Amino acid sequence: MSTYDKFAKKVKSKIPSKPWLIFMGCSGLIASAIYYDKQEKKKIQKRLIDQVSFYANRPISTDTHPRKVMVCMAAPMGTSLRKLKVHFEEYIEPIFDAAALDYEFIDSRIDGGVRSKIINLVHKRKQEEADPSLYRLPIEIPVQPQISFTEDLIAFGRASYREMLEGLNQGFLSQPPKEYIKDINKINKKKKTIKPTPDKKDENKKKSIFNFKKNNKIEDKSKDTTKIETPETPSTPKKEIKEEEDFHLKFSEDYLPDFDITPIVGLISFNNLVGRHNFGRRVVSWFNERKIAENYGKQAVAVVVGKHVPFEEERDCRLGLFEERRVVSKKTGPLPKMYRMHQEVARRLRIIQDFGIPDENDTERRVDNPNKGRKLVNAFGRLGEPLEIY
Amino acid sequence: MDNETQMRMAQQEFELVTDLLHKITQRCYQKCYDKNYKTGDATTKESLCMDKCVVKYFQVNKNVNDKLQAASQAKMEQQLRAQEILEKRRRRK
Repeated sequence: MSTYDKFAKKVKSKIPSKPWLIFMGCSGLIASAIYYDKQEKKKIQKRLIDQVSFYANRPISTDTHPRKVMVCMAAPMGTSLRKLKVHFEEYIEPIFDAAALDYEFIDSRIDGGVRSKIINLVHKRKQEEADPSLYRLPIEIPVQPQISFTEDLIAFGRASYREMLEGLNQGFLSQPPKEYIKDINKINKKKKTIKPTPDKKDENKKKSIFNFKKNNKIEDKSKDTTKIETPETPSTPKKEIKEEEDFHLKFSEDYLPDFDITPIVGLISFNNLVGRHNFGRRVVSWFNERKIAENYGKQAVAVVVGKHVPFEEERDCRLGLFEERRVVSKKTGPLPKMYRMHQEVARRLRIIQDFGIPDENDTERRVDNPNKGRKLVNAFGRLGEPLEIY
Repeated sequence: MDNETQMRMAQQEFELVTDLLHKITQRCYQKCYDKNYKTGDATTKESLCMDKCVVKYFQVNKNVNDKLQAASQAKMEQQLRAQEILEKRRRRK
């Protein structure tokens, strides 16, 4: 027997059997991959937190509140609200907390719940402007009012972004129901008529949902169905008519606010890997949480920096549409339809720039359109371009 | 109500409010303030922490009061029922 055979015999007697070796090798590989991924994720999150921590260490006077952000959450396609909250807690909350950015959730389990809450916010603002005594505190404290659009509206996921835009559009174009208005004449102030400008671009654009002319109110179609009266119960149809009139909102250009209201919106796109075709991507994402953390982190840092640019309907209404396309498992092809807002509403909005470099000396948030007309490629995945995650 | 009882009630209320204020400031100061004292002004993080601490304190206070009230009401109702049962037994006799 050679020395090599003797050595091999010694080693074989001490190490486990072949199946055990295979098992230990595979489990060791998986465990080490997960461990490496977690360590890298912690480093990445620490780097992002260090970038943003100077915001928390700046002094603030006692008569002002820290900056606050309203985070809209609506259940995305194929998943539940809980998953959104888990992702928010894991990847975005540490950065908001490190930057001392206060946040409040606008969430709902019902489809359209977020939209109705935002419509109510807009209506409250209109009422407050018309009658400031409605929401005044009993003691006059020199503090920013809670009900106003000083807070930014951040949507998490395409579904919440769409509901947010719908809510803003419908809120601007409608009035609060009569029950909630003390004096409706205060809100219906005289406004200048908006004349349509004959541009060539307008001819090529598709017709929007709201085709308005001067002093033309669109009424809800449901009213037409209530004209039929049943002979058995003559009293009940009238009550039903009244309830439906109060329930449905009427949209009109006349209800657009004439005071200064510029909501600032933003989007953090959600990594929605749902469906049979995305199973592989989902498995790979378990070992690549560091890349997911980086992507979410960049978007959160952009929200913290908060530089806002004018809202462009063609570019910004399409944000996050690739999320929907991915769920349907199509890599290429036409994007789903984008939501069309009224031009006057889109003109008043501003959107947070989706990349941001935290700078102690740069305190100005307003930016005047540095990339007008250009396609932008970034973490948000504009115009159907996918994120760099799985 | 007499003036004396009114004064006593007002004094009691004043003491309660000052006691509450003292407790809140002590607790929230312990939890929120950075002991390094780099600046004299409160930082954004500290002021946000204080806001949340005060809101939480009042919420907890309110929850505890509500539960105590509910417990005392349940006890009162139990006593009333026991009294009613005793009266019914006496009437039968």
